[in-house]
Amino acid sequence: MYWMGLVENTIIQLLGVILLSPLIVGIYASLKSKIELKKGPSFFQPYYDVIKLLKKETVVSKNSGFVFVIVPYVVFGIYCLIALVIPVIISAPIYFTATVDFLGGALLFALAAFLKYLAAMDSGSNFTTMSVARSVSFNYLSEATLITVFFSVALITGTNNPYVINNFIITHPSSYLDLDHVFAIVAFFMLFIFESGRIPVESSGLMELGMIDDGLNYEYSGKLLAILKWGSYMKQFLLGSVFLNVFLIPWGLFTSFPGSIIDLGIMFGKWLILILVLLVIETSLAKLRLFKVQDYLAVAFTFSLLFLIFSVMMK
Amino acid sequence: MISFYSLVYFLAALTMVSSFYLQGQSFIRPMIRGVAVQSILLSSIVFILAYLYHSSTLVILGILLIFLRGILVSFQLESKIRQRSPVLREQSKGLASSFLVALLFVLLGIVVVYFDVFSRIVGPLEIGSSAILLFPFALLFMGLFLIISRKGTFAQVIGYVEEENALILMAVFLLPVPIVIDASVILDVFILVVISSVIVMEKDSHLPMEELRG
Repeated sequence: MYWMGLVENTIIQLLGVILLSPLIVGIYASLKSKIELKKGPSFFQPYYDVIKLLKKETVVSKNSGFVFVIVPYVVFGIYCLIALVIPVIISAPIYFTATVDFLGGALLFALAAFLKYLAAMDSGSNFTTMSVARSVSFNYLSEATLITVFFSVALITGTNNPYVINNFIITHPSSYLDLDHVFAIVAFFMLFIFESGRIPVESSGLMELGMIDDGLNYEYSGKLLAILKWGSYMKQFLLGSVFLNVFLIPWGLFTSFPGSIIDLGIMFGKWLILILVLLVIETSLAKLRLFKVQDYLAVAFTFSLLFLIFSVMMK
Repeated sequence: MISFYSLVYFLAALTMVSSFYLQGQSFIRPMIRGVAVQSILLSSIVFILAYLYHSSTLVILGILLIFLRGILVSFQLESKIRQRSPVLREQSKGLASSFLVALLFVLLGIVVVYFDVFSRIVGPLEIGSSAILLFPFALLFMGLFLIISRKGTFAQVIGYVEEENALILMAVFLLPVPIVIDASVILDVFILVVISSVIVMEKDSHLPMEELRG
């Protein structure tokens, strides 16, 4: 019976991440358009986009090698693996939980990013190579922030397992407003905005001058682009869910099997709250100039270091 | 249940965040408002301590802080800005580097509090562990850094107000209350004198070697 629940929870979490992630992006885009008094796309537009791209022909440049073709599949696989090891939808350990801790999850994200850079450079295009340079020159601060946050979380709870951290906040609600936790929320949220390419860091669209992450996919088309796009939806969903379940709202999730289906709905509700917060930020702030992105990340890094200092001090 | 002590810690940390904001801000008007917010945060800490210790003198200190620091000083500075130009700003020297240097000062604060110097002269505090003293120390060093990193008079005066806030913060955690009030009022009067004298001299900026020229 225990194994039955475990397998079903694993399937629910994996399918939940793969299938729900485009919906979240669609809802966000649609609500944003409505706030800007436009008609806006359907909630299901990302699904339509992916299906359309899957049907289209894939064009691969003569100059590009096999890395360019393989990487979208590998990256998609990495995101699926991350979905199995962190508390994205269900707050109880599932099949692969024991294999990787928080730092391992961060390294998997970094591996996916690294492979995307390799593929973008392998395409031989000047523009994607410039995007790689741009992305790498900002990522050195964001990765440092991410790792600092995870170190400090490990210092608070004595472990680096995200499931235990989630459980720690649930069982110690008084530690929610502790300084280290508050600073972790702020630093991780700033990082989430950067990683998901939102205003004030990056405006998703076709403005090449301000592109950081979108520019990496410029040489892709057809099926490969569909898989990369789906992967980026999953990345956003994974990071946002970690933010929600480990830092911001760790409560409210069921752990046993029948309840884990309800968890999908609960996660959806939590995401709606996060979408509202993001919409307020996105519609009220202006985009930073490109060279100011470093300042933004420096602030996030400062918060994460302060968080590290506080978690050592408050011991 | 969130205790009042953790609230004090939280507000003290917010004052430190506000000093990072002051360090990163190059426009003068938001800086003045930032330091006013810092003073109001400080006064809320004083009010909480007044409630915890049942001390009426701390209430008076809180009210003085709001009126003198939060309103009077910032109003004075803002009125002087209006005479100069509608938008006053300084050249930024790179936020990332200045933040990292400011962080170094926070670390320096920790070193002073934790190692040797302070642990010998401070007994157990009423507020809890002596870790709380990190905040005033960090604020003090960051105020100093604000003064030395800027050339504009306004920014330097704001750095001075920040240092004063740090002194008050340290004092409410350490000293008997009436001395704190006296010191605070004297410093406030002093800063008003400084501001008016600086404005009278109409010096926009101060270069390091200026005063030494023969």
